Parts: sequence; structure tokens; C-alpha cells
Amino acid sequence: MSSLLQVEHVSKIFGGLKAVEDVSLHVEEGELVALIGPNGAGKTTLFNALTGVSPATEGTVTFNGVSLDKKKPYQVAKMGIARTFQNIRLFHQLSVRENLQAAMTHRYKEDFVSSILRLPTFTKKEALVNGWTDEILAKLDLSAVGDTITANLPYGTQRRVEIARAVASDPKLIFLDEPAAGMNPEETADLTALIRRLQSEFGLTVVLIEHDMSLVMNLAERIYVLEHGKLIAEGTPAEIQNNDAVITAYLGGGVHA
Amino acid sequence: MHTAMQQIINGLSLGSIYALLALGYTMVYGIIKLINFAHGDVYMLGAFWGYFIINKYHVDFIVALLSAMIVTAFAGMLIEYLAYRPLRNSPRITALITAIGVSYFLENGMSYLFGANTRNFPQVVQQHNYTAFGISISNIQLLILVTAIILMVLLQLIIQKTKMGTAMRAVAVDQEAAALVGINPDHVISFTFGLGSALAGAAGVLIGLYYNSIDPLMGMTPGIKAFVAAVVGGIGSVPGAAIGGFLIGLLETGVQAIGLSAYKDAAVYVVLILILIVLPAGLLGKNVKEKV
Repeated sequence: MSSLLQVEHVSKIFGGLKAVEDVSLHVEEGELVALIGPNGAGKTTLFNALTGVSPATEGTVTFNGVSLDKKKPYQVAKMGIARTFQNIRLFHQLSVRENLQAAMTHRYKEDFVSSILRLPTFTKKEALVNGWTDEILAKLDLSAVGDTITANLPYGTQRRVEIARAVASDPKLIFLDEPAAGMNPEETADLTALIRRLQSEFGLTVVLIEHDMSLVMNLAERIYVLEHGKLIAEGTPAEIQNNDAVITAYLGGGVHA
Repeated sequence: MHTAMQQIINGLSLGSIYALLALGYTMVYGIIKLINFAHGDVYMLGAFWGYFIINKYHVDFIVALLSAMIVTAFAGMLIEYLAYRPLRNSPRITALITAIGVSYFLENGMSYLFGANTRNFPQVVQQHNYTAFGISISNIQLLILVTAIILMVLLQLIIQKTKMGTAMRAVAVDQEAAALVGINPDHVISFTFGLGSALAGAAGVLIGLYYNSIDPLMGMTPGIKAFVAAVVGGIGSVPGAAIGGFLIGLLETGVQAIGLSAYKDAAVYVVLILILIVLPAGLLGKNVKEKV
């Protein structure tokens, strides 16, 4: 059986700089995988290559049996890959509900005339979309802030809304780019629980970039370690914690006289 | 008092034309940060289409208006596709200069193909004046006002209630994030040009009826004034553009009423300068910092 996400020999070159070099990895359906590495290791670049934002220079990416080569970001999203961003990128002037509904536009057909004239088909469609929205809001404990403009929400809640928006696009796989960045320990604990629920309740496959090692070791089933654009290790949290190459990458090489 | 009321009515009629035009400027700016200087010429195309179809097929006002909106919507989308889309990732100044180029192309293209002379717009609606309390209003003024208000309400419904409207608002904030939740930015941008251009086309037919004369350069001055209206209202803000349009219309007729007809254009530009100095974000604009 093939993997949900299969990345083979992917490189991303900016001018002379190899930001990602010959990375191959796979993610199975329902897995929770973490991608770690020091700053500048190429983790976000890899995410960008996988979501079509900044396509890979070399290599192939297959999702659900379909090649993602030359797919534009919106096509990748429609195929079932969602993501969040390192620095939150919500539609700030819109309410939480509107943010979620903006992510649902590819999930239903709309007949323009009936929308303008508010015919019964429109009311039915509106009820459907509102139903989806209410469900996600309830599951992610956001019902109370549904009508709030997202720019006015606290940081931790904005992160949660961004995850909710990704869920609203009905993905199979979700990429989370440093979801715990800037969060206090309490918020991080909530987030950990939330990510678990993405996997268990929503049946999502999760790929996570994170610097918070306690969160990663706590959550991830498998970990990939990236350094200078190359994969240097792969394994379970226990294996990674005892991997010499990883320890060297994070703590610096031993100094020999 | 009567004169003032009379001028307000005249100002509102003219203002609704500016408002319809300003909406197109502000929507396009909101979504791709481009001042589409060819927008006034799309309005000219709408007027010429109305002239053509009424003279040739003797259609009534509604058919002329709707068909002009459809034709200009396609013209706007075509302009976007041919002229602006290839420059989507170029510096903004490149697209701006291109917009000026498109404007000259349309003006001179129309002059070349159909002649630069002014022509009479066929009066498909017979003018009547209604007088009450010493104030006179023509059925054409009423028609302009009512049509403009209906179109603005429809626009508001489209933006707030439809899926395309939601997508437009999302793309206006963050195009890349919108794409990553499954919105095709190209479709949304194309739709925005179509919508704005349809409103300009409607304005073109309405002004033809109101002023009775059209020519290939007719879009220049109203185009710039509508741009001023969009800036006054806060560029990027849809309600702002409508308010700005009415204000500019009122200002222009007001200046004429006090006997300074020769300075009516200057007054509009003075307002632009003042707004840029005192309230650069406009009346309803948000003072958003540029993204780095």
C-alpha cells in the first residue's frame, strides 16, 4: 500500500543556495509526524514546496496517489492538504465564521442567481454551510467568538482559529508550521490536546513543524530531523532523543583539540 | 432654500454616477492594489455599447443597460487577463503604468475605429420633469438614482452573501492564504474586474441618457473624479466609495451653483489634495501598514 504523502528526492534551490536537498519522506494515513531541525534547516521551505506555494526544483511529491507536480496552491488545497503558518495569516478583518467559510468555498456549488434572489436553494446551501461552521466552532471551543473579528482575538485563540480554518477546508492532511510559537505553557497544553483531537476526532493526518521539544516528543509518532536542508535522522521520539547526529546538530559538534 | 434642495438633487444624480465608477476603482484596488486607470474608459465603452445597441436594434432602456453591463464585464475581464495578469508578480508601478497605457489604447482605439466626434446619445427614455414645492426633478434623474441604488444593494449582497463575495474578501486580505484554503485567486480577481466593469458600463449608459452626448474621451475626467471619490471614501472600502461618489457629485454641483462653474474640476482636485494631507486613509479607510 502506498503512503498518503510520498516525497521523493525533493530539492529546492534558490540561486546557489540549496535550501532543501534530496529529501525523501513518507507520511501514512492517520499518522502524526513531526519535522524538526535547527533554525534555517529548510523546514518551512519544504512545507512551501509541498503545498505548491514555491514548487520544488527537483523531485516528486505524490499525495493520495496523485502527483502534486505543477499543481497550484489552490489545487493542492482542493486535493485535501491544509496548512497553518508560522506567523498567523488569518483574514484579519473578517469574523471567525467568515474565516472558516472562506475556506469552504470549494466544498459546495453555488448558483449565483438564487443567491442574489435568496431562493430556497440558497437558503438550503446557507444552512449547510452554517451547519459545517457551527460544528467546527463547537468542536474547537470557538463558538463563543464566532462573530468576533479575528484581529481582536488573543494570540492563542488566533492560532486556534487558524487551525479551525484549515479544518474547514475539509483536508485529509494538515501541515502545522510552529503552532506553539509564542504560546505560554498553558496554551501549549491546550494546543497539544487539540492536535491529538485533530488526529483522533477529525481523522486527520498531521505533519508538524515545531521547536517545542516537549510538545514534539509528547505528540509525534515519528520524527524527521532536517539540518542544512538534508534529512539527518528519522525515527520514533525515543530513537531521535538518542541519535548522535541529532544531538550534534542541536548542541554543536564535539570540539577536538 | 429651494436652490439648495435643487442642487442637492442634481448633485445626488451626478454623484451616483461617480459612486458606481468609484466602486470599481476601490474593488480592484482592494484586491490587487492596482489603481486601474483604464476604468474610466470602460465606462466610455459602456456608453458606446448603449449608443450602438439602441440605434441599431431599438432596444429599451433596461435591455441597453443590462447588455452594456455584460459587455463591459467581459471587457474588464479581458483587460485584466491580457494586460494585468502577466504582471501579477511585477512591481506595482509596472502595472500602474500599464493601466495608463490601456487607458490610452482604449481612448485612441475607439477614436480610430469609430471617429473622435461627439455624438448624441439616443434618448430612449423621454424626459419629463416633475415639480413639487418648486423643486424640479426629471424622470432621468430618478432613473439614475434608483438604478444606482439597486446596483449598490446588489453589489453589497454579492460581497456579503455569496461564496464569491466571501472569496473576494479573503483574497483582498491575503491572496496566498486564500489560495491555500482552496480559493483560486485568478478566478476571484477576474470576477472582481467583471463586477467593477459592469458597474462602470451601467454608469456609461446612465450618463449617456443624462448628458445626452458621448465621445471616446468621455471617460477621462469622470474616471479621475471617481478615483478621487474612491480616495475620499477610503480606497479599498466599498461603502466608502459610494459615499465618496455622492460627496464629489454634491461638491461639483455645489460649486457650480455658487457661480464658480469654471472651477468645478479644480474643486474636486483640491479636495483630493486636502484629503491626502489631512486624512490619507480616507473617510472609511483603514490605515493599514504596508506588508513587508
